[in-house]
Amino acid sequence: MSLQDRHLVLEELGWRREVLQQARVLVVGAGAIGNEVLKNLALLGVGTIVVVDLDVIENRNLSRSVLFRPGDVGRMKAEIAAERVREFDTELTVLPLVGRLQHLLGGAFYRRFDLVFGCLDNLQARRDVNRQCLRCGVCYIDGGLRQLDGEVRIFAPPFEVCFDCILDEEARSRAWRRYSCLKLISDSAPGESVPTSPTMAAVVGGWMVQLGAKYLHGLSIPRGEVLSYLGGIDDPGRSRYSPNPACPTHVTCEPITGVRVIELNVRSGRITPAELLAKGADLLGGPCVLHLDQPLLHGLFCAGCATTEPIFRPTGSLTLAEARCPRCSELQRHEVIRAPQEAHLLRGDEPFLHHSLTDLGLPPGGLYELEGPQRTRVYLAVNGDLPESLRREKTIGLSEEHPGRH
Amino acid sequence: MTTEVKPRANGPFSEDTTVNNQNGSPTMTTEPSSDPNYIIIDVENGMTGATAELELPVSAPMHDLLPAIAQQLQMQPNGLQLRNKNQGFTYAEMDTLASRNTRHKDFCQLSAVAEAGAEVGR
Repeated sequence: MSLQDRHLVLEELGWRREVLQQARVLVVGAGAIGNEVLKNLALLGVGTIVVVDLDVIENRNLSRSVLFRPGDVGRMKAEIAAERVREFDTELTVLPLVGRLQHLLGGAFYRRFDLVFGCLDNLQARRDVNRQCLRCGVCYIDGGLRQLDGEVRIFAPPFEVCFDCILDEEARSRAWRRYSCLKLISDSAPGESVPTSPTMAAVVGGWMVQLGAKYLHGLSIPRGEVLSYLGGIDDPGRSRYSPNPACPTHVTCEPITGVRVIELNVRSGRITPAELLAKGADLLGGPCVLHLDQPLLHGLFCAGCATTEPIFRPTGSLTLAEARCPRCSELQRHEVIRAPQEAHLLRGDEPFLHHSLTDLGLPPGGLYELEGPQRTRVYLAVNGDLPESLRREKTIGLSEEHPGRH
Repeated sequence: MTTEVKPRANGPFSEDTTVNNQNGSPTMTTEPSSDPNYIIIDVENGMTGATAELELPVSAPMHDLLPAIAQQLQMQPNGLQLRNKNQGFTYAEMDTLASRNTRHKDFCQLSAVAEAGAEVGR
């Protein structure tokens, strides 16, 4: 069947070739579900796909991942998945990104996507993706597996309910379980392994992409609901989530809708927080504070020797070993761990404002909120880091209101 | 927070539990609870399909109630969600049975949240 014939079949389903070709989607995770999602996106002819994953392919992945072959073991999941998707359709633009998503994608990336598919295995990454989607008004379809069970959770503008709304306190604290109480990576933190099935991965991946295709066409989807299949008892279900007035994401995250966004055609390595603050002051007519896209670690403080070592890294990227104070640990003959100093906003008096955003460890494609006098706001989008295929304005979903709840 | 417990006469689970259960298995109870602070619902174990008829406090928040229901259904207490299948919604952390207008003999399902996929960050 030719590509043309394939698209004719899609049109019989009520889907339009040009809508799918113009669509830009982010697939976070190239594991079992991510493989299925990517395969389906390729079959539909979705024009621009970005896939993020930090892992290499292992033997155990082969039993669940439709795009991987034995010869791929040891290679990066995102890169192989992208290669295989291109084999379906050479006209598709598929960009693999290798690394931790929080270190690779700032908000300027997210606002260029029409749709984000979460194919993740942990809660904190889901919370981070969810936050960016809510902020940027991007539909977030999240899939999950557990033994023979599968779930698809749908969150879309105006985000009456978001992923964080459905978590309880126990789950939110569990989200950081791979870390120490200071959000340092602990080598000894146990990783939980949940058995999953390739059959349910196929079902969940299929549901996700079908819902996504409907969303791209402006058709009704079950926003704020979960579709589930409990494989142990063969029970399909659909259930509404309820808004959570205490949801930390809704309480702390402001959607960008209705606020002016200034597009900066500059790379993160070529601009500093001082320059962003100056730009904001020009635009808003007075001194500003700069709200960071993601929290920044800027120092390690040791209470033992009362010293601070400057260190510029994204939150969650530092290991316990790196946080150890070498001097105090040697003197006291036990591990002395220094406290990371974290910044969520910059006021203009910090000593590191003249480092580039990249040197500070901030992710490429940052979306920075400047808050000026009388709470006036403007966003600066660092677009120079975006690949060419993500630079044009979005055309899908622009008619929707994204006011959030607050 | 401590969930209020209403001991049931002759019930084996009346001591220091948040759930009043009749012998831990489905019963023929069809009358509403005689105590206005309690409600009788059917709860299914989403992994095994086992169902129990439980008499539960209407004003206990889910974060207190779910571990007690899980214990009755012999499920692990963490990472659970309760769905009201009759009314088509999932209870949130601070919801109570009363706040969501749960009805006598509503059919609910307790299941684990499906979280696995791929490791991509944090």
